[in-house]
Amino acid sequence: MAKKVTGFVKLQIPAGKATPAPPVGTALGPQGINIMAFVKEFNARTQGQDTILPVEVTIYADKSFTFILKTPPTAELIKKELGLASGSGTPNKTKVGSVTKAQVRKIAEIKMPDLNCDSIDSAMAMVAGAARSMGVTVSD
Amino acid sequence: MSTAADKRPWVSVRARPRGGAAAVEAVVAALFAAGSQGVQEQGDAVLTQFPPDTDVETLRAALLAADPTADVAISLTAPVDWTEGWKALIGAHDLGGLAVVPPWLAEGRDPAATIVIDPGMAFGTGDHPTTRGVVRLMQGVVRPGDVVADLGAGSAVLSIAAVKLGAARCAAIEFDPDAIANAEENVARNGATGRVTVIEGDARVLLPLVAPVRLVLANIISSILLELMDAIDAALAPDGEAILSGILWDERETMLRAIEAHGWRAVAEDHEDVWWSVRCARRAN
Repeated sequence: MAKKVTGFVKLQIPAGKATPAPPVGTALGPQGINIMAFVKEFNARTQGQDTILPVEVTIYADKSFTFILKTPPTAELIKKELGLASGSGTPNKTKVGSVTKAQVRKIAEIKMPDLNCDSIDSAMAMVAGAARSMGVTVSD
Repeated sequence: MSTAADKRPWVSVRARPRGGAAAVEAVVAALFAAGSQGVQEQGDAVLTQFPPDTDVETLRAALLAADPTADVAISLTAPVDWTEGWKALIGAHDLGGLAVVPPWLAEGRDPAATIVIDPGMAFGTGDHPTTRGVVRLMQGVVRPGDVVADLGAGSAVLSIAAVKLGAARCAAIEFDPDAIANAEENVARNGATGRVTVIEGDARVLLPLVAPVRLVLANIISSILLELMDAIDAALAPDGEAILSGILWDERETMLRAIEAHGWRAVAEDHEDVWWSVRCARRAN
């Protein structure tokens, strides 16, 4: 039967590395859900993926909960594609790499399910914008 | 490095990027680069906490480098051990003569009137208006020695309630394989092993195997209940009864017609919030 939703929490957590310490515990603990149950389930479902994963947790009146995993942040996918440790602290001055249109398309296709875009072109434009804001130039 | 015994406050960061989606990603990336173990998105702000030793000014500079127009608020927050802290928010729930309690509140309670449920991901505290409705309708219906079947048993809370109320044994039938381990843990925790048997599978297949039963409990949803009515009818002993729940109040008339069509009558009804539960018996009884 349907349950009454009492809470909704959006987090980004390194895959396989959730802990009950802050900020995961701080975000979910006040909802009255079993923190260790979340941590174990999240880590089990995301282990082996070396990325940050957005997760949306829905909490119900009986303190049961569900969560859905989203695609990694665009910046994470760009860093992974280019083998970068981090983006540029001063993206206008210091460039840390260059991404091709083909790579932008590849990342846009991964992100499409979570983007509010109706075409691959607009998704690619968002990925390109994210790349520029982290000091990554877009080449043909 | 902070430890559980470290009572120093944590550094709490709330940043509101103002440069659109790309700025949000840049700020989040800066938080992770600074060692964050996770970030909460709350409206247009992102929140996280860092251990007590964090260099606040370096952190602020990194966030403003990611988005120079971001609002960045940094404060101190008292540490809470949420591995235990969440338990303070869980209380005992009255189920009409029985109480459902988490393990840490079970001590000192009468085991015969207490159902212990460890709140987990799938079934929480075991407390729901439909669960309460079924247990209220079970009062005085379960007789010593009864054989009961609980369809869509989930956490097995109703099966445990049935044996606590005097049933000899109960078959807890559950279709979802992910629920089985949780149900078995709850059965063992409540000393009901041997009296409650958790069985994984389709109720239409399994119910005939445990028939005849004196009482069927089915807290599912109305569409599934309608599909199960023939199987329930065939499985009930001549003096058998069924308690159906998971039914919305505005589905009451539909369900009453289906009950009538199966040669049953509604003996008692329960209404809480938007939920309706009904106890039925054969019309001849």
